[in-house]
Amino acid sequence: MCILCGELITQIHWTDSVSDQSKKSTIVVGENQGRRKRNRLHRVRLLNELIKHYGLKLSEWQGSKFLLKNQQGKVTIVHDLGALWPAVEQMLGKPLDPLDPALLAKISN
Amino acid sequence: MKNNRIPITIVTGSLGSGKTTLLAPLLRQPEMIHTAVIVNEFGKIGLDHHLLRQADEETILLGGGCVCCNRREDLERECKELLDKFERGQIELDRVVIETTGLADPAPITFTILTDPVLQNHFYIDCIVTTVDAVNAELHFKQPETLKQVIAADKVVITKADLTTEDQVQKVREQIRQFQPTARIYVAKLEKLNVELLYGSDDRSLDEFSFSTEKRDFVQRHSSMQGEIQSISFAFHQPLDWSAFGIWLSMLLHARGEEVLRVKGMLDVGEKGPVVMNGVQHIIHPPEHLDYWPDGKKFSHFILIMRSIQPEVVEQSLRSFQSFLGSTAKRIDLEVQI
Repeated sequence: MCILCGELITQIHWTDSVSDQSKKSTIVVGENQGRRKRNRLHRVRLLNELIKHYGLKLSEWQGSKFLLKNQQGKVTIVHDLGALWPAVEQMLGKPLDPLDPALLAKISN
Repeated sequence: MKNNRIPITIVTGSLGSGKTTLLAPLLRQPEMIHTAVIVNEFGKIGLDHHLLRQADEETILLGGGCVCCNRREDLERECKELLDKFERGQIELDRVVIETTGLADPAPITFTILTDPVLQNHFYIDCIVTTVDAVNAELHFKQPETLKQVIAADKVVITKADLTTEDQVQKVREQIRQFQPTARIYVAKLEKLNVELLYGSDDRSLDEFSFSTEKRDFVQRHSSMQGEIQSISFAFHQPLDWSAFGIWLSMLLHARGEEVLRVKGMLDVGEKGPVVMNGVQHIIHPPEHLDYWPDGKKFSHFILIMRSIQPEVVEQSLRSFQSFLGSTAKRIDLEVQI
């Protein structure tokens, strides 16, 4: 459960799995926060490289959510990559496709 | 058991391909005494086991319309009941075997176990075993259900080999390899069956393959029988950026989830060991981060089995995303030992 927005999170998206999570039974509070934050910011940077081609922008919010914005100022809160792609599609009003030659050409340049 | 979760083995295969015949002798072995069995239909040959349960297939169609993201309510109920008994101490339970019907799609079963809020913390899918009837394989491969079952499999067992010739068995092996390069293929000999057949292999190394990176011509695994099912494999020579790879693959699966039938790989992400990826359609098992490379061989690779997507297009896409990935993908040929 997200204590800020009350969203019930039953699933950890597979892209969020980290290496030593399962091996240790105890962790010190805040122990991995630095690394986690770095990873999240890194992911946001990569995603922005990609979704800027659609005129969208993503930002990290409080270490717990991501904010997806379009150029008209519309904002959607997303929790993970599983929720991001449907949100992007909804904002664009058209389906996404990583195999789309036009997108690939833009990325390559 | 992994993190105190109970392993599940799914046994699937087309009607009359010998699922029950395969299971019956295995269940009589002493190691299987604490294994519960859930069957969806009773065949002619009855299974005899004290932890046997029968459940009529019940699929709950979820909104969204995707075929693989359906919940199998019958299995959810049975697994929860077993778990309940286990936790009350009424039964011992160290494995659950689910025998599906001949027409079942294994993807919704995986989806049910991986997404149910309770079950995902108590069970995991250890292994999917698909039986293929050596005598009628060609006929069965014309059915989309059978193809899906074989593609989802971790292990393919060729049954009824004694009813046909060696050549026929070899031919069936070759046919399976054409569209399923990742599974291990076994030929069942009933007197020599080992219960390990139902266990997911621990090493998970693709020891049945030899990879050649020199040969650049890609053999299209295409034949009229399997229609447009093709596979593509990549090798990576530098460590991958896991975040970037996750972005690419999650986007691909979101957009083309129904056409990507299978994802399997072992990726070097700059850690001590590899990340093991395994997925059926857009249902991805939680990736496992290993501490070591199986057999000490460092080989970062990735296989996709697809329907109606040209391998070249995927290759192109991966190349364009390379500026993110931090590693160059090199397409490789799988030389599969048949």
